[in-house]
Amino acid sequence: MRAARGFTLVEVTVALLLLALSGAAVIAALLGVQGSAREARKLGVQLALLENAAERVRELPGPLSGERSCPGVRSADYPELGRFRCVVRPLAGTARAVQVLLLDDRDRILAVTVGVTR
Amino acid sequence: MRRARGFTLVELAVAGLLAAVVASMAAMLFVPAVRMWEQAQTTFTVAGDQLELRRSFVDDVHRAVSGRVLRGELMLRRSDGRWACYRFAAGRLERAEASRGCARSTYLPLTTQEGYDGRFEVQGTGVRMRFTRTPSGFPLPEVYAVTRAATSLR
Repeated sequence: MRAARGFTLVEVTVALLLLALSGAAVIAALLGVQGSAREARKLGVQLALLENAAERVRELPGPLSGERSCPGVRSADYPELGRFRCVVRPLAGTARAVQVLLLDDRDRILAVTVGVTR
Repeated sequence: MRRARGFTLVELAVAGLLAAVVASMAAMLFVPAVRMWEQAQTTFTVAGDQLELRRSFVDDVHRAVSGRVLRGELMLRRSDGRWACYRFAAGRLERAEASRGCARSTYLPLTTQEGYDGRFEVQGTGVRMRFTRTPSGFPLPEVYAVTRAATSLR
C-alpha cells in the first residue's frame, strides 16, 4: 500500500487560487451592490432637491416672466450631485404652473417636476 | 512496515503558519466585503427612511394652520384640528399625532435606523427639517415644505 502523502505545492497553489477567485467574485458582487446603493442615494437626493424646490416655488409670487434659478437651492447643500443647475421655467399656456428642472453641468436634463407659484 | 509516528515540531509549525496565512488571506477578503455589505444595507435603509419621513412630514406641513418649535420639538396644528408633532430622540425621528398637545408617550419612530439628529425651523409659510447627523454618515438633504392651509404658520 502506498503511504499517505501530504499536499503537493501545485495542489496548495490551486486551492489558494480558488480561494482568491471566490473572494474576488464576492467583492465584485458587493461592489455592484455598493454602486446600486450609491445610485439609489443619488436619485433620492435628486428627488429631495426637486421636491424642496417645488415647495419653495409656492412662495414665489406668480406668474414668472422667464427662467430663473430655483429659490433656496444651494449646490453646497447637495454635494452628492456634483455640479448641477436648478432652474424654474414658466409653463406655456398656464398662469401659475412652472417646470422645475435639474440640469447637469452640460445643461442636460437630469430630472423634472412641476410646481405652482403662489 | 514503518511505524506511524506523530508530527514533528517543525511540521506543526509549518502547518500552523500555513493555516495562519490562509486565514489572514480569507479575513483580508471577507472583512472588507462584510463592511461593504453593511454600508450598502445602511444606505438603502436610510434612503427608505428618507422617503417615508418626507412623505409624512410634507403631508402634515401641507395641512398645517400653525406651527412652532418648542424645546427642539416641532408642533403643527392641522386644518382638521389635530396636532402632528416631530422630534429627534434616541437617534431616531419620531412623530406623534393627537387631538390635543402631543404627549411624550404617543411618539412613534418614523425611521428604522438609529443615528439621526437634527432640528426644525418654522419660517413664514414654510417648515424646514435639517439633519445634523445620519446613520450612514453621509449628509441628507433638508426637507422643506410649505403649508397649503394658511398664509402664515406663526
